[in-house]
Amino acid sequence: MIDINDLFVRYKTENGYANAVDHINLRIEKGIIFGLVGESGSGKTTLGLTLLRILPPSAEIASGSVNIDGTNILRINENEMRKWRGKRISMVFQGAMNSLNPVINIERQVAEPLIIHENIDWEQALKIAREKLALVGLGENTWKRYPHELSGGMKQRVVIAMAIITDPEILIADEPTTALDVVTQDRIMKLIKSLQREYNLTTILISHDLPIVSEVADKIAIMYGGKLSEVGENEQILRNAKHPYTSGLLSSIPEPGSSKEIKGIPGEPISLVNPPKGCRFYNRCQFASEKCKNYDYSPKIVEVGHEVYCTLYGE
Amino acid sequence: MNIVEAEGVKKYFPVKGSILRREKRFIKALDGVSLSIEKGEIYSIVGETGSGKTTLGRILIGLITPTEGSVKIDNIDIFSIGKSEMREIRKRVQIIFQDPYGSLNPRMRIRDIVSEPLKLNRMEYSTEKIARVMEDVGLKPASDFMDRYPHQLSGGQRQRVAIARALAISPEFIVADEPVSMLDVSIRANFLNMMREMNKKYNVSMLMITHDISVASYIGRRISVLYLGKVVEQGENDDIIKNPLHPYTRALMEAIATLGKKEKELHIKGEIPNPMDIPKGCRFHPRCPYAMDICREVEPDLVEISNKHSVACHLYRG
Repeated sequence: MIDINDLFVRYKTENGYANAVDHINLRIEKGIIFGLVGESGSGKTTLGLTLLRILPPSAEIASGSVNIDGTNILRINENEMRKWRGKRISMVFQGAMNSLNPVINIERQVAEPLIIHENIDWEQALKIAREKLALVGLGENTWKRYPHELSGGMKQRVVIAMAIITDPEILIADEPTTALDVVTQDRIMKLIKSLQREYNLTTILISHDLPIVSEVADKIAIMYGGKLSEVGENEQILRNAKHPYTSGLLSSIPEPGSSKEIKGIPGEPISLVNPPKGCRFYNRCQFASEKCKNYDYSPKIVEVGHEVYCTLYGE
Repeated sequence: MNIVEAEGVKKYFPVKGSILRREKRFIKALDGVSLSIEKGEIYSIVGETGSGKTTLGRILIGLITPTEGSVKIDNIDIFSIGKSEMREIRKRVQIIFQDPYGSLNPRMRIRDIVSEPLKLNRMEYSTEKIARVMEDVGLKPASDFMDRYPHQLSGGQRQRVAIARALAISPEFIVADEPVSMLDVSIRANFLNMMREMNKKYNVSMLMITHDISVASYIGRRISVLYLGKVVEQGENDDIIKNPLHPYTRALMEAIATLGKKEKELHIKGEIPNPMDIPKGCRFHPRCPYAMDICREVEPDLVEISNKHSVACHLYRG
């Protein structure tokens, strides 16, 4: 269980603090795929980076705790954290497939973390690397190739193999399908699903693409302006969306073959710097009322497992 | 009436060879593409990275010269005319690019960005005219945006500036190269709707270049599906979406992510090959689940199967 309590992460900017993760509470059960959906600037990547404690120097964890199996990983020292990072929690970074080293063949790149961190000899490390490459669907004929000889989909598989080289319990995948074509996207999602299913790998899937997330995620959290808007089981979010932002996202998606007019959400995403008091979605919401201006983000329970952060729903 | 007619357009980019390799090699970005766009319509080109869709868009407005083939804009063959005639053509066509962050000059104010094409083409311009087009594309009130710089705007607003700049000279044809792929989902829908409105209001024909068949089907009336520099299927929106014929188009339709948990079965193998090594015969055959002997040898022609619905596939030969 990952238990995030009152987490507050902000960045120092020229114009004041940007509240990227603004007092968020979230529980993520083990073994599931947890979809974290939001637009650019919603704070979703910062949340991922916080779980690994690899935030840039301008960031500050101002308050809150992240408990994993009873350990608050924000409180342990850097030495302890190194035992978590990459080993128990690992991450596939956005665009990492374009950051592979062009002059090292892929099996050596995948094996490298083992040499550096685990003190294993090359022979043993390469053996494990090959196992992982095979696991993500890359056969023997690709192991000695260099990144430029691989397609985008294959490079993304290499990056995933690197992330699981140390058999982590938790995998954070940040926009793993962005910039891939639809056929390859589908294959990468199938790979993520199979890793979860076969190795019970808890996966936090960060994406702006709700349809892609909804095809594999067990639970979905929608973020907007550094805050959670709605959290629920997959079906609860898709069939019974309560937050006007969630509904807006759902009606923004064109469906091929349907003549349905897509609507979108008026206005522009809110800046994380000096956000207004109350609901972050206020200036774009068609249901906005006076009380939204003072909304304190206390959650409303729709039904078991389904929470919405909106004044439209009861006390 | 057609605003654009492309006939057998080919574009081969030479590849620098090594000293040892004598023969010249080419990337065949486009390998014989024909299409026509009617006045006032939005036409979509769908294809993945490496399909040649961007090259095609640039050739259609004369930014790149094709290796072979012709392009007519309003019946004028744009690659056989002189410079001064081409200058006249340039007043009638515009392009907007994928990246709203890279395609606007960061040191120019919005009013100057939008009026620049008018100045360059020595056309009349006034603040009122610029304000009108800015408000048409949703930059309201225009006075709030006029004196700002691109970095002060969001991605969606910048892309609106790009389309305002394109519309300012009242062109007859606009090429939009992946204009929404870098925009957030909630912004994307409004942008597409705005493009549809501008299409009617300015009576401007548009070519929508996209990798996303659901975007194409939403905005376009007709679609060409491009694969490794060739059109594999062409037709009216409804025919392509509801009755895709080519195995590649079908795979694209199967692969679209839709809302809800599911596991889709895709009928396609591998990934798009390198355009330097185009497979012999049908260029899709190594990925095709239905490939037959003939597909490995003979390249299929684009043949009309039913009313204006064409496909290049041996499965449908007479």
